[in-house]
Amino acid sequence: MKVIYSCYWGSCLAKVAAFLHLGYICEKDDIAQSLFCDIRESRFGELVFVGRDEMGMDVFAVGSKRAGPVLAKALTGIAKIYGFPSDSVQLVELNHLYNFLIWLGIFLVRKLKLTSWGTKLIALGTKKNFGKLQAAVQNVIAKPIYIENEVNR
Amino acid sequence: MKVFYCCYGSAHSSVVAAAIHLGLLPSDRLPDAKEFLVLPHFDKTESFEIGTPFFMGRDEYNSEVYILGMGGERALIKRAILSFLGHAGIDTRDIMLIDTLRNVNLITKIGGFTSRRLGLVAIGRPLTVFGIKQKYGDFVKLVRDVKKTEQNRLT
Repeated sequence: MKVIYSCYWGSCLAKVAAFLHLGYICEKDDIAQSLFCDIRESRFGELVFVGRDEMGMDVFAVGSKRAGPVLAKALTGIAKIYGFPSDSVQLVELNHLYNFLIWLGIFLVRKLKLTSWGTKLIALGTKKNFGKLQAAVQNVIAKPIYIENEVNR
Repeated sequence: MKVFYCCYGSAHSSVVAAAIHLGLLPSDRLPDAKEFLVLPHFDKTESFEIGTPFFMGRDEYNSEVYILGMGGERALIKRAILSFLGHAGIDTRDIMLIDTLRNVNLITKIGGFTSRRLGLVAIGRPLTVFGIKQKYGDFVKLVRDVKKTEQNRLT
């Protein structure tokens, strides 16, 4: 199974969610500015491997702009065509967790090249929605496929 | 080999290209309107189905031919599919993702929007057929080029 966390840029919320999933960060204070230093447009759509979790699931982050729902259907469909089980791809859309601070931070980084101020705002905005991000990740880990795998181990 | 004809909503241009590829539409003459309207998925795919690949058939080389609507982010979706297959250990030379939207003219776009978005099928559907007939030669050429590439990859 591949768990793909998706947000507009792929390098903000999706990355933090993947880090949370893998246990690389546990609390909101673990969120460092350095997490957000690779906001680059050229990586849209590229699945960035973040790590493998304790259940052996590959965890990815992807920047999908606003095409997350279409991307989820496309990847699920392609996975089926290539003979993978229908639940082998789990795309988690996180665009709804962007807030004003994150958007403003991205604007500062990308348009005004104010990287230091921008990443500070992104980190602040992400911390503000940290509980919701945690809940989204927990929701994935609580899925039956995870529990089944644990039983089979 | 798997060939995916990709457009916005998998309702018009991708269906026509896949149909030419599979011989459901002729390559040597201009089809009449009825021949388009009986094609599976032609002007029928709903908005919520965008992103879902549909199997259209197998061609003479035993390759599977699909249609796929990618919405407004075709480059992004293509990159994601290839990236996904790469991570899954699948040889991406086995897949062809062909953009058919470049053969769509303004008339087809207006027709598609009127039929699929506004639900005015009686007005939009004939417009899509009219627009596609105007560009039919380009579709035939596109499919011919795809088959050449397909043949080269298979040999």
